Amino acid sequence: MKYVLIILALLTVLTVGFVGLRGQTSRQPPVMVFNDLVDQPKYKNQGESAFFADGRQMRLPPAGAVAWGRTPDKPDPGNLIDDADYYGLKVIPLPVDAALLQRGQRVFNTYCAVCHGGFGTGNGVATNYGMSAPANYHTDRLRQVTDGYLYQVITEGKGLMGAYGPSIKPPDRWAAVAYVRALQRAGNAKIDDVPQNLRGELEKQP
Amino acid sequence: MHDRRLVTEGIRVSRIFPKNSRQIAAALGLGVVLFGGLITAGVTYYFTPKYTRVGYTPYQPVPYSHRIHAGQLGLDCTYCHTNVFESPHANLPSPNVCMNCHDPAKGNIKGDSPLLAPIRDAFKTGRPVDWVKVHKVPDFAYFNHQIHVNRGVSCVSCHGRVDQMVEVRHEQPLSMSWCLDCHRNPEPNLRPNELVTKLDWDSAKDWKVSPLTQNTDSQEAFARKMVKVSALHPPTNCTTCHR
Repeated sequence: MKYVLIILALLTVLTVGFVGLRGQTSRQPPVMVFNDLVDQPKYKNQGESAFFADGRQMRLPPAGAVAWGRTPDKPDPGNLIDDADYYGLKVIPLPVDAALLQRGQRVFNTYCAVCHGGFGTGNGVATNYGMSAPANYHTDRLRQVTDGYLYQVITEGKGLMGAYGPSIKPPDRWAAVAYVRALQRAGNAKIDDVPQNLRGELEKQP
Repeated sequence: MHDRRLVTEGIRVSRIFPKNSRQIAAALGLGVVLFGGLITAGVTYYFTPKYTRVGYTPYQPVPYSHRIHAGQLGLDCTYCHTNVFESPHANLPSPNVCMNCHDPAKGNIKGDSPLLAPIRDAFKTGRPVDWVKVHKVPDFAYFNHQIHVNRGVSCVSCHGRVDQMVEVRHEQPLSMSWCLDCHRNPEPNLRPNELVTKLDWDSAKDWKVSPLTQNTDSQEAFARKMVKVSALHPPTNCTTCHR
């Protein structure tokens, strides 16, 4: 009896000693006994391919491919029209309402504020780590540029700024443009811009 | 005559079964019960994603720190994982996203760091960085990111406090019973859509303080409303996740 208990205790100690407890940090992938269905030999999102030279399972459309509903001169499948068609626009081609501005605020705070700062003065958190001089939106030059120009800069980048076209979809880019315009107006506002009934506290300040 | 035969048989039987056979049988029975119990306990404890998956922290080709980028700098999850609100798959960023800051020719934050060499190579050659997948559900389960985050289930519910992780660590079991726990009672994991990517936001503590939520009743009331208004009844039938 004693021996049985000792053997069992030993077994327990050995098992725990070898395989550890739940939640322990492990560098090795989980051990699977029957793995056939769990890890199926099929192409998955962003998977690795041994077949294609660039190692990607996800393929780009071959050169000259024309998406459904497009014409060969405007084949870009991602957008309704090619980005370059937007660059010349003077104003945002979407209805600018509260929903668009809220969307724009979210897009701006995600992608733009990192460098340009939450208020667009060019003092985002990246400047603390060596990002040099992101543009300040509150200058005469940037107040006077067209909406299409801002859209182009978001899409293609400019100077040290990288292209955000791959990250932000066209409607969200326009939303960001609308929010930048709102920031510019707020940064250059006069007391006359504030509705009469909301002025109270503001007028007391110097 | 009759008695004698019994006695002789008794002797034969006692030769097969020793005198302490009762004790031996008892010990054997107890041993089997104990051993069986131990095996059962071991299987219950170890043969589950709570043991096999939780804690998985693979080495990555680039020691990208979520704690620095998402925690310290406050980058939103979607700065890199751009498609999570529109796609079943939460994408890993392509190297041009890293290069927005780390391009030696542009932002040049740590542009010449040897640790970033795989990113620079990928950017130059177009051959992706070999990131190691940490969170994985079996290939016969089809998880959809966008439906969850758009309904107000935060990243933190499944991935833990990634903004505090230097290396990404598998925090939740992602087992089927764990999925079903939430599908049967989603309310505790719901929050306003704007706060889905705020990993440090705690429903219990921050609800009354956050400007976005302080004018609403409580997390419980909000969740009940969500369930009612947007008919949020997560399905629990097999074909929800298995095809």
